[in-house]
Amino acid sequence: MALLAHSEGPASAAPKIEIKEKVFNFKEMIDGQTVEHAFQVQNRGDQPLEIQRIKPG
Amino acid sequence: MAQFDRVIPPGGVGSIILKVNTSGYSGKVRWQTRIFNNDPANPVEMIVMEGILKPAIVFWPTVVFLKGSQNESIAGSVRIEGKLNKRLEIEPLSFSLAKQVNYKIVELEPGKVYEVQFMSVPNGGKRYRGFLKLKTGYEEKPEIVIPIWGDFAN
Repeated sequence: MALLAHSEGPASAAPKIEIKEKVFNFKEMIDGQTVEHAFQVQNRGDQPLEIQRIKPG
Repeated sequence: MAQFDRVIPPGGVGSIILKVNTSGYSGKVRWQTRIFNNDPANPVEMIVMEGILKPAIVFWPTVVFLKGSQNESIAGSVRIEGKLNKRLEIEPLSFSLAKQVNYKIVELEPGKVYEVQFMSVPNGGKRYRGFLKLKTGYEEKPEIVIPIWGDFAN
């Protein structure tokens, strides 16, 4: 019973990253141009979400 | 290149703006980007940009090889085709092998397909490398550079 109460207790406070559209398809484009897109990032947690680094690849 | 909101408050929304210069890529492309963050359950998230890159202008071959005897005049050519729904105009911008090679631009299909015909100058040199730079009139691809390699035996 004590174990069950523990498992149903509130989760520890943390940020939670959510990106609804993770893949952006620009369809077709002429090469040599610049493609740009803004990805929306939501924080569904209860602590500030920190984006520490962005790395291609 | 990326711009992004470094801190997003609980319940808030931020953005990550990615910019990719597509020069040098062609065909189907897929660029992945990793997002390192402090969500303990998902510390590395992935976003992707993908699509198809089409050339504004196609030219073939991409390098002109002139090979033969030094005392001969060797010919080579490049076919240039505009792939956009508008007129292609080409004109020379610069040429680095004026003493070694002659060339002329021939319009095969008006405003669309051209051929650049090269002819080596006899005894113009044993080995050389240079280029012909052309202005295209396409803002999407304002210049093309055709490399030319010469290799001649005595």
